[in-house]
Amino acid sequence: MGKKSPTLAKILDVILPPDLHHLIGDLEEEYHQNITSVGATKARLIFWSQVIRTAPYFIFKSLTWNLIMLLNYLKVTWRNIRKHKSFSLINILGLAASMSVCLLIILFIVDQKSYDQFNSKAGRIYRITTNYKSPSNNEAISFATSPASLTDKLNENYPSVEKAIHIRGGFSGEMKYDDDTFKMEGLYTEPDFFRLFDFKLLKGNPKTALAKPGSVILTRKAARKIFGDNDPMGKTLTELGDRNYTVTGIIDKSVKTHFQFEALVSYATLLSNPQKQKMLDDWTQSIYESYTYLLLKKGASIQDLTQKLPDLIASSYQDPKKESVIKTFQPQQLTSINLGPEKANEIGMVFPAIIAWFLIGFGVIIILIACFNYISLTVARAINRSKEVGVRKVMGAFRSNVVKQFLAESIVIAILSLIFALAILRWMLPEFNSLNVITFTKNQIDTSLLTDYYVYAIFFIFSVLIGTLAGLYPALYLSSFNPAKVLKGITTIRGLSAKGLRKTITVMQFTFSLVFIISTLILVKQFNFMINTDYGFNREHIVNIALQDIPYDRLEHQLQNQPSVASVAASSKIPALGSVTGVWMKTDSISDRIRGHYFSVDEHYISTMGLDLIAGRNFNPALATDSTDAAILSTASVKKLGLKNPQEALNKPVTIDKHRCNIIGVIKNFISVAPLQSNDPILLQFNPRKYRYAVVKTKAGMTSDFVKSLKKKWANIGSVYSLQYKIFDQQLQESPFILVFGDFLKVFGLISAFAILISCLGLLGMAMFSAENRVKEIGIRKVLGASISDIVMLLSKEYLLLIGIAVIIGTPLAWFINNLWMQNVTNRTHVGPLIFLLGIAGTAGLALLTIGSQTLRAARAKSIDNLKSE
Amino acid sequence: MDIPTRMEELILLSVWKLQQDAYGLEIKKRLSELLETNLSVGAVYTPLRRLKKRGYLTSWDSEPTEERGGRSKRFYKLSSKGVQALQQVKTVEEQAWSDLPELGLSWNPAKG
Repeated sequence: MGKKSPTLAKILDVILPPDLHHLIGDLEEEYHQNITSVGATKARLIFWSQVIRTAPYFIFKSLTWNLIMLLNYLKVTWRNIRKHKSFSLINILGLAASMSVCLLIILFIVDQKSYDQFNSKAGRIYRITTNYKSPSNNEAISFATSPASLTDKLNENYPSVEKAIHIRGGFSGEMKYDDDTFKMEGLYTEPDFFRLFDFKLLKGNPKTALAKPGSVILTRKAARKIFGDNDPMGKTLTELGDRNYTVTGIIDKSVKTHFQFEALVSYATLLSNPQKQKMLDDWTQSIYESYTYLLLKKGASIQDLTQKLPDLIASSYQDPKKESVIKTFQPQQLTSINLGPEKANEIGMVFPAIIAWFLIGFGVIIILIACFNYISLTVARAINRSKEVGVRKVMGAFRSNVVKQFLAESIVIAILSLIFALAILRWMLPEFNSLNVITFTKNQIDTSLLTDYYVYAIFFIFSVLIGTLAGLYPALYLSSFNPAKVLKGITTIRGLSAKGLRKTITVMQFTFSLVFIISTLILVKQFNFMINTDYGFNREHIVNIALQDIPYDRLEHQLQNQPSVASVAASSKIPALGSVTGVWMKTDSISDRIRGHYFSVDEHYISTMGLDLIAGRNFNPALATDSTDAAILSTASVKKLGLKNPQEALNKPVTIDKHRCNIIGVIKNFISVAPLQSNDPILLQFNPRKYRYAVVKTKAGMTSDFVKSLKKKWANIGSVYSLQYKIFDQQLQESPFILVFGDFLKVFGLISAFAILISCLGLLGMAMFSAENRVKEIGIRKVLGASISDIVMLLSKEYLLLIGIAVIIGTPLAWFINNLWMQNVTNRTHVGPLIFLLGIAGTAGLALLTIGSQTLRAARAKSIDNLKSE
Repeated sequence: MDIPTRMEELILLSVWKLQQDAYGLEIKKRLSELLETNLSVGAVYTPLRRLKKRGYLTSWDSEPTEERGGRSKRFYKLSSKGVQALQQVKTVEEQAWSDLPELGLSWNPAKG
């Protein structure tokens, strides 16, 4: 008859020393006796009352016993670690390297998630985002922005909204104070901004600072930039080409927030300008830069509001032309903005959630690799430690004790690795923060986090988890040894064949490393290629000057006769810097319209920029129709528009944004937006009203002379703005695209370095281990006449095979993966077998070095010593 | 002279009486009956341990049985030292109870 133990008894089993197990047995016996004598419920009652009355005794016994056990495990663990110093070090270093990367990722995510938490009302603050299809797109996408008029509608008609406020981006200008001008960027908002958000005003009254038009609140940094140490309050700033502003407050922006601004300007400023007011009233125009943030009433539910919004869209936000369509309004919690869903037109530089998932996934991979190392190394040494296990078991240890012993060992190693990892982290953190992507978007990890206690608590828990994860399989595997067999010397390694597992892991690690190293090499080649690539136009001796408020003709007249100037041209946009103007293009030869990159230029542009006109003619200012109907296409446009070749395309019609034009010429393609793509469809038109830049080609070596004369000319040209010019070559080198790619390369290179490091560490451990184990064999062979090279070959054979397999799998894999992205890049470098060979040579070389160090040492050892040892 | 406490004495006597059946549960049951109270586990087992430590009792564990959830039974046995201690207590008690005056209800403590 099977009698069930009460669960409480089972719990007591675990927490009490084995010494007291007979006591639990007595309680259980009494329990079973009681069931028959006084019934089940009373029996359970008696059982419980006994336990509770003895509780203090149990607790005391349990604590002391567990503490003693723990100390014992720690002592043995420490002894074991010191006994096998080199293996332990290998394990620790491998874990430390991968842990440091994970710690960095953890820090980053913890930091990002804490943004905007300083607001006391954060739980009730929402932002209305818009799922919107704009006229220039075929699809609807999610925008962080919303129509400007939405705020007032929310305030008037929706009682669950306590307050909605206007925020608008796009304040960007040059502010003049005394004789200096400073660039400033900021947001427009209203006084209730401070009702929602807990930003501190160091100077000024939050209720009035943003009330009147022309008021501006500066950040401390901005104030110091303009006024130095003087008091900025009440002073007047003049925006060049616009109006005056009065400084009404200084705001403390040292908190972590997704908002980015140097200044807050009163929204009333926009409302007092009739032009701006008109734009704000037209929702199809205001929707791109206005934001609606709201504070929900206490106890109200956001779902109630969300349900009512579709009606609002139907009644107030329709477009008769059906080009602009709002699909839905979606409220988004303030705290979900950072690391949240990706939205267009974000208010600051916000990292979308997908980045977090990517980082987490990556961290998981790296930790798994290190754990595999630990597992395979520990399991490999199982034979050597099986005697230890056998002895323990014979001395009375239960299997669970042996498991706990080995788990303790792996946890201690993990904690030691943590210490090393923290050291590595200290180096990595500033490097990470200096990545262009991070500094540019102002998303640096707050280094003060490293002094927070709860961060270290998270790290500690993390390392314990890693230790448990890595140690679980070895612990269970090692503790399964049958003591009788083991002590007799019979060692049969059953279960997931240790050798098979080890080999698979090694092959996996090296394949992974190989793929990463080859990819890194390809990326480096691509990067260098892009920096030095032929853009399809002149990049040297070109200076770009922003026209701002000056008509192009006036500037051209001033510049064209300068001795340092070779030629001057006009353009609406500067190519290859990341932003383009898009237009829809269509011919009758294709069914769907395509998106083209648009430049409005004058007749000198092609020669100034060194473009190649391969068919037809340039723009002719004498022909009136040229400025309305003429179009010059690039070779890619010709192809994508279904016109067979440049000659065929001449004089054919093409529809540009619903306007019918005539193709008068074809130029060779050039890089229009980013160095990755050299085959975009480009369109040139002759529309003087769209000129924004003067493009000047200087004579060789005379660029600095030109700049000097440019400055003089600009001062007298009658512009309210200060001179804005850039040397094109520099612009290209510092383009955000290049910078981000450079960052990406850095990170990738680091990953590869880690991958190969960890793989080699694993291999080192293996080689060391097998060399140790075959000491006698080597000794005998040497005595029988084997040379050192024979022995080296013998020991290395199996590893060479593994590396070979890794190369065979990894090379095509690397080719395949890189091909995936390279297919989408038109301007790509040539990837020949050389790169693959280089990657293979590097990886295999390091592996051979690792193996060789151990096998050589083993082979050289004096045979007498080997055979003597027992 | 360090004599066993009343509880310890009772436990020692129970072990003596129970002979081969002297294990925790039985001892607790007998004593509970004797004292007409429901003794807790701790009240019995702690003295048992102390007595074992002092050398008055020896113990041995049996094979695990299923009705005890796979745990063994711990039996106790009186040692010669234990017998000696009991005899000591008995002697002391006899002496303490001897030559007691008549206890009349009319006896009042001297007024101070």
